[in-house]
Amino acid sequence: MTKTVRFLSLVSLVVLALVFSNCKKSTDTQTELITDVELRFTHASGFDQTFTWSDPDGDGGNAPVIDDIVLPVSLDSLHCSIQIWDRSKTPAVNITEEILQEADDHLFVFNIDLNANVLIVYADADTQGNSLGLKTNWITPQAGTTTLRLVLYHEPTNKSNFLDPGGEVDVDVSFPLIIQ
Amino acid sequence: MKYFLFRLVLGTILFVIAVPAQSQECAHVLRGYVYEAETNAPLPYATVYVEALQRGTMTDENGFFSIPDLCMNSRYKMEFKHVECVHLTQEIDLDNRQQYDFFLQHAHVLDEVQIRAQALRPTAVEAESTVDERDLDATKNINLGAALKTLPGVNTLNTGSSVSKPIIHGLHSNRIAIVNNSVPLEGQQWGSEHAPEIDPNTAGTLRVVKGAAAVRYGVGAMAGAVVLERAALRQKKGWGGTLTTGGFSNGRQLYLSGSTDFKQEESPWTFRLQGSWKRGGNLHTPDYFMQNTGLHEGNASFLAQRSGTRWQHEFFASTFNQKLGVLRAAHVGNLSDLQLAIDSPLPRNNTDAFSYAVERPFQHVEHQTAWVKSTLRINPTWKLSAQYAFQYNHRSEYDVVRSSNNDSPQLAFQLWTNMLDLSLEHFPIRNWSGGIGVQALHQLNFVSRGGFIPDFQSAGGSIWAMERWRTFSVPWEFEIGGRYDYKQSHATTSGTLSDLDQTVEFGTLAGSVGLLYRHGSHGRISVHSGLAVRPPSINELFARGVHFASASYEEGNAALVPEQAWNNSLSVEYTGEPIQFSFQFYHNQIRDFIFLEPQAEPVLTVRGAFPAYQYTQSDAIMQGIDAQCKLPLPADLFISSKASILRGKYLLAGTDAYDWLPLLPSDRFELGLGWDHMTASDNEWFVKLSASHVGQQTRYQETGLLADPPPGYTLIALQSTYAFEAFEQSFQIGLDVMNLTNTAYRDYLNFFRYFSDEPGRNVGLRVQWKFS
Repeated sequence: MTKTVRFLSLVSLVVLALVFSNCKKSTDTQTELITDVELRFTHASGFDQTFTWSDPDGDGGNAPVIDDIVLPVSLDSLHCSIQIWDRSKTPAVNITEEILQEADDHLFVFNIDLNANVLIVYADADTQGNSLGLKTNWITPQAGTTTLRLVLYHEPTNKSNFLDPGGEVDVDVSFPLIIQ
Repeated sequence: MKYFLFRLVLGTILFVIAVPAQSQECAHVLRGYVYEAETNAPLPYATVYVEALQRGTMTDENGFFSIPDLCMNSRYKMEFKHVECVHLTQEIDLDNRQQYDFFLQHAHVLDEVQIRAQALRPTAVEAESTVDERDLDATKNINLGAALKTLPGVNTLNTGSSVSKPIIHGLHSNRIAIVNNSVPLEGQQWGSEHAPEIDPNTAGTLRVVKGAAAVRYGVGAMAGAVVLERAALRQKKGWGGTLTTGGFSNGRQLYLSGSTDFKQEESPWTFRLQGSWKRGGNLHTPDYFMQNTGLHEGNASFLAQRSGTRWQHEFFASTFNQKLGVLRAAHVGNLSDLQLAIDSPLPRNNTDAFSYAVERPFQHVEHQTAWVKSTLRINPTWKLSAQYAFQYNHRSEYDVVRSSNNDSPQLAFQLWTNMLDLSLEHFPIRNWSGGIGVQALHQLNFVSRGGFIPDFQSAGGSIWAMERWRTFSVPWEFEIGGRYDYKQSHATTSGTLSDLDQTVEFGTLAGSVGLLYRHGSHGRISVHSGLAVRPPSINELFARGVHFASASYEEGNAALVPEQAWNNSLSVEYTGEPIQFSFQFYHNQIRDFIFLEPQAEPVLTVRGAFPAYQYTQSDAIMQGIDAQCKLPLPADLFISSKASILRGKYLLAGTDAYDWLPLLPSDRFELGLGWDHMTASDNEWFVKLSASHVGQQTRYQETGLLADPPPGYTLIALQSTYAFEAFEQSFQIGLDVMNLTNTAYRDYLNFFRYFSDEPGRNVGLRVQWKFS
């Protein structure tokens, strides 16, 4: 009889564990989504403009809205700083700060047609002294039209190989680039 | 229980034979009783038939019978039949004994229409296959897919080496039902990387119904059903069960699995407690470790049964918990990442080292089930059953994230399902047996993280009826069934991304007819025709998002209509001596088949452009052949072989031209040489060496294809077991080697074929103890 009682109490424990294991309540935080990539260009001359790649409804749905980046011809540095936003949340989440905090795990790569004659120099670095790319200096010696492809790599395995840094792509956006 | 009693009877017989033989005289009278095995109650009106003499009789009210004029010291094959029981054929050696006892297992009227769990049932008219007991023992600690893959016509759709979904005759996910202990599994079946939340250790038998089985198993079983049935409960008082432990060399996986039954004397209650645990680390291809391919799993279940003369009640609860690593190298951000991965001979972003650690990306899945079932025998002809089942499925997918202090999942789904079944069945009335039933379903899906599919709430009901005609002297059996299902779903998403608030409702019909012809006691031919209509599922209607494993963008289509499958099959089976074979031909015609169609324009996202796919409909035809045979050789050797061939096409929109359906299994063949040997002391050796060949898929859709299907491959496997008795207990030791030659290969049906080879050689060792 005691055997049975022991068995039954074991059984009821299992059942109770089953019933109560469902009672966890999860907090209602949402997954990160990048909706906006902003490039702000400033120049000593007082030039200050922000160009945005924006897809507020996320993947699919409405097509993204992409600004033309229009820069003046300049032989001294235009300063570029990047801001990454999740504007699907209220308030909007500034992902730039997370990228800065985990700078070692990120790398922005700027791809421009070599013939376009635009020079881009990294103006920041991660804790290891490797490039990051949130801040860059641009020199645009001659007028022309081309395309800028901006890629953000996450957890790159080789940050000095700009052609194939490894890791995976978090952002891969293209802007028309007009220098006039 | 049945086996135990038979063994007892058989044991007595063998003991008696040892008495010196007497001269043969043929005026002996065989006297005996027939009992119902479960209750030990005498069984009146059972037919008893001696095959060799073509003579028979019927038992009286006390289950007694006698057959005169039999020869002393001869062996007779006896057949026992009773309308409520499973036919029993047993050989006896006639001797001086006064009385023989026979035990018949109780049969349930219907071939488990939807809710019935039963170990015994009439022969199916559909094409179906059962996993061999030895194959089940060898594979059930890998996963469900590995066990099912041993059947011809059944393949698995894989995501890496641990996520494995069954494919029946080329169809999978929402189109097949997985019925565990009479309850259809309700999880996030739509996802190709969502493995069924099933512990195969709970199954005593595992079989697959191929073809439209919607009448029995609901709209989910449009292309077939995977049916798990538990082993029969203990009938004798006391404890009994099995304990198995073992491991696999690849991934250094260890597992422990056990099950025990307890029955108290003089009590109507029987209990079963079952559990399993396993842990594995990074798997190894012939050339490198695959980072983050470990897993951790723990499952438990409990069953209580109260058996009375008229009432039977059962209560069941189970929990399934799994943490599954996803190959790190398979995490790609966009299409150029994927192209780089395809072009790279070795996986990118991969650490070639062993570890048990499961890191991001991984899946965490829990599935809880509880059901109660009551059966009332109203009178000898009618039976009423009711079952209520509850299921809770919680799936969380953890992706690689930017912030190292982010410990939340990127996708999480919670699904609650309630099901109520009522059925009224009858034993033969003018040779017709069958029943009718109703079912009600309520389902709530909550997407707590991420998106891809919306939240939804569904309610529905169904009504079914099924009848079967059989009479024992006629070799023909006939079955007919019909079913109507209604389901209403209300899908919503909220937030700034997109707003959805839409209700869809579908009413669908299903029907099936089957004809079975028996040739002697070993041969049978059956023809089955089934119509199944499946309404589009929530993901097909409303999905929206990027599927990262395939780097593609998927979009639902709210205008979809139900698809209609008309499935015809012919099965020929012979299970006698010396040769055993089965052969199945099937033809499946699907109107408005729902599939993902590649779109001309890619979708531009913040991670770059992705190829876009939208759910669309067209007519499709699939047909194929499954065959299996076993041929004995001298010296306990045998040859076994299997083959399956499938072709599937769909009609291109607005044309008369057909294109191949994507992701269909290629032709496969298996040839094995085995040795099945009983030693003098009744210990059993079983060794089988088999070669299986999977051809390259040469019939595929060119559009949207990123890389050619991988070449075909041949794998060698060794399976061996030694079963023995020691200390009055039964033991079994098994040694299995998969991919014996350590062949490097990739499989077309694995989504991760772009990233990595399949696992290399894997040696499995297990010890099983059956205690009683």
